[in-house]
Amino acid sequence: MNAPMIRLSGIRKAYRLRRGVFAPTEELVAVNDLSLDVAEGETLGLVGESGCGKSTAVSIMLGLLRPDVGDVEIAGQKIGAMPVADRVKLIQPVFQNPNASLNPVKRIHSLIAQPLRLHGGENVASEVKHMLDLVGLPTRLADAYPAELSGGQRQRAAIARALILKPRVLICDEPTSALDVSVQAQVINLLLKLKKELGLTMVFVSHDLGVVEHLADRVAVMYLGQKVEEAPTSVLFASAQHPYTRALLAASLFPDPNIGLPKQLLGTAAADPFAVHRGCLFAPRCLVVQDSCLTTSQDLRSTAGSLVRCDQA
Amino acid sequence: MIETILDIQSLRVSLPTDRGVLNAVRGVDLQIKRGQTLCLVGESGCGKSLTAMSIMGLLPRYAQVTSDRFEMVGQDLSKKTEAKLAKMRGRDVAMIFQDPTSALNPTLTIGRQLTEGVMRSEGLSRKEADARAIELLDRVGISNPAARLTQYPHGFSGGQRQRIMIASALMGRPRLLIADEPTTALDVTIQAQILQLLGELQSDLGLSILLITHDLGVVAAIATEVAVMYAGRIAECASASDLFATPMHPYTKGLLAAIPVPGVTPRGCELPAIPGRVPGLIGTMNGCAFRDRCAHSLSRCADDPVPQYYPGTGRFVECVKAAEAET
Ligand SMILES: Nc1ncnc2c1ncn2[C@@H]1O[C@H](COP(=O)(O)OP(=O)(O)OP(=O)(O)O)[C@@H](O)[C@H]1O
Ligand SMILES: Nc1ncnc2c1ncn2[C@@H]1O[C@H](COP(=O)(O)OP(=O)(O)OP(=O)(O)O)[C@@H](O)[C@H]1O
Ligand SMILES: [Mg+2]
Ligand SMILES: [Mg+2]
Repeated sequence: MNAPMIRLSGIRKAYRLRRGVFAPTEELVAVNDLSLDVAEGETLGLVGESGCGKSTAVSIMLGLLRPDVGDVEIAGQKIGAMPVADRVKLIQPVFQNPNASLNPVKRIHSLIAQPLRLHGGENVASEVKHMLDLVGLPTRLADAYPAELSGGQRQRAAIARALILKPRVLICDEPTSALDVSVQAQVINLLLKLKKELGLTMVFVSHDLGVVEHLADRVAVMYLGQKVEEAPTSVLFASAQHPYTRALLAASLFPDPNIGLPKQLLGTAAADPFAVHRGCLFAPRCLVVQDSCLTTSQDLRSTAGSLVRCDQA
Repeated sequence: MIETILDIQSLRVSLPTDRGVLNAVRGVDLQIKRGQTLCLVGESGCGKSLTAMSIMGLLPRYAQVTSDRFEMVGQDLSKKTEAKLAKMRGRDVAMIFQDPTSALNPTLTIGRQLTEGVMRSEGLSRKEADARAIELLDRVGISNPAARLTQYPHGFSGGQRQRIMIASALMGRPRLLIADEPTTALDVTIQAQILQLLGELQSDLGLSILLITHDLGVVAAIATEVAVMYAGRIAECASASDLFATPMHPYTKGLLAAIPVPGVTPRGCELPAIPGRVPGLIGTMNGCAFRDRCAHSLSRCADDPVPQYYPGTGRFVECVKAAEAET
């Protein structure tokens, strides 16, 4: 078996913060002992509560943030040791807000060309044209400014820019959450096509479980910085094992007004990233919590092709 | 007793740009009754936020706004002075903004930002205002709320900041809450909590809600009424149950078809996206704005005015085909 395209081993990242002006600094562990493998051509969905560390993990994967502990390897090379010029040719991000990532005073063609110019590429004009075709932007928009594009077109331009260096990995952090559903469908169709045609490896962060289910081959679920479950998409959606994953799936909304608001499968305590737990991090909100969960930390164990961090599951 | 909280007719908002006048809102009618939740959905850039901003009186100064009627809680807002509008804001109507990162001031503690307004407008003491802030932070699911009051916005995740924004908007106990994509940055469990919270506040306080969202799952879960907006106009307006059961406008149908639903949509299939893009809104426009993307468009679709069709029970559709199909 080949080495995975993305390998995170035992990543930990903590922020040091004060809770008040005169309070002592405390550690907020944003990502804790996170290991992930993504095979070449595979799409990994990354889901979890707001603030559970997905964007932090993504920044670490991209080499934009250094982990305190642990290694990141992309295509078998340590990302920390990689020159920036090599890194950007291997792995590229697409973020949530295409407006913020596109300079409003530059024309679309020059925005798309920018990474290629910076990193000494050739045939800039023909490459840009090729990218416009690939993401399905009409050539006439090459001379437009970002404001003249629709939200979906802007996100396509951002994807074109991310792809112009022909990276092998695309990391998408909520790339469709600012888009309406018909435009979201365009972007999803585009990502599916790129995956098929270019064999792209993708990590896809989203709160929209419908989109994750549609795009991802495998899904990792995070809670308070830890991976609590990982499984092939169809397995996860059919038979989630971790109580947090179940709560997440149960809280999904469907476009059907007869369903109403979902039942909450979560305790009312809020996740506190500062809290120091001896036992399972999820125990304070878990509906099937046992006494032992409060004192014994839970390890990831594998059951029938999935990984789950819960002894009760 | 049914009380109309908001009644807008023919709202138009135009913005001068260096390439001409942008007619962003082109004749919008909206009505919200006490205790109703009206969801406003539509493509990015179709004018949803500008419509909300005009209700808040927060449009940029250079915006040209006209309307045939603009009433809130029975008062004619078009005749209000800037000072009066400012007073109504936060008391009668409050808004949760689309971008929580820019809506919170990074240099002030959460406590200051939540309490300042009500201490001024209601004359609450610091202690009373803090107590209300703590109660609301707790209600929106922020842990350890008393300690959090002394914290600054940085270091809260996007989702946590949005929950703080919601608490902040509710501080003045408004009659109408405008929420511009309030749950877009949140995970689904917190989203469900927030929607639940909005529902409770609605029944406890008789709150009316205008909720802007892209997420038709959110709409299905909490809307009583839905208005589908396209290129500055309301294309279709109906009760939530009617809209999902029998969408009439081709744009509404396209939106509903484009959603991947686990267990229903085959995984990894190409989704039925609506081809094309919204027309530019600079200058005048004739006929139906959706016709270039519509699979059923006819030459008559370019004519003005586009026929409007009222198939009973407060329902409204603006489409040649829908109108003809029934008459
Ligand atoms: N620069 C920072 N300084 C201090 N704390 C931070 C910083 N960035 C993130 N955090 C904290 O780290 C934790 C993880 O944040 P992160 O942004 O990775 O979460 P996320 O899963 O992407 O959340 P969301 O779904 O809301 O985007 C949160 O508790 C957050 O408050
Ligand atoms: N201050 C402004 N000056 C000029 N044009 C503006 C201004 N604010 C908004 N617009 C334009 O008006 C149109 C409507 O904007 P609005 O923010 O209401 O869209 P929206 O429906 O809220 O979109 P989204 O779903 O992306 O938030 C857009 O084309 C936008 O570019
Ligand atoms: Mg994030
Ligand atoms: Mg908006």
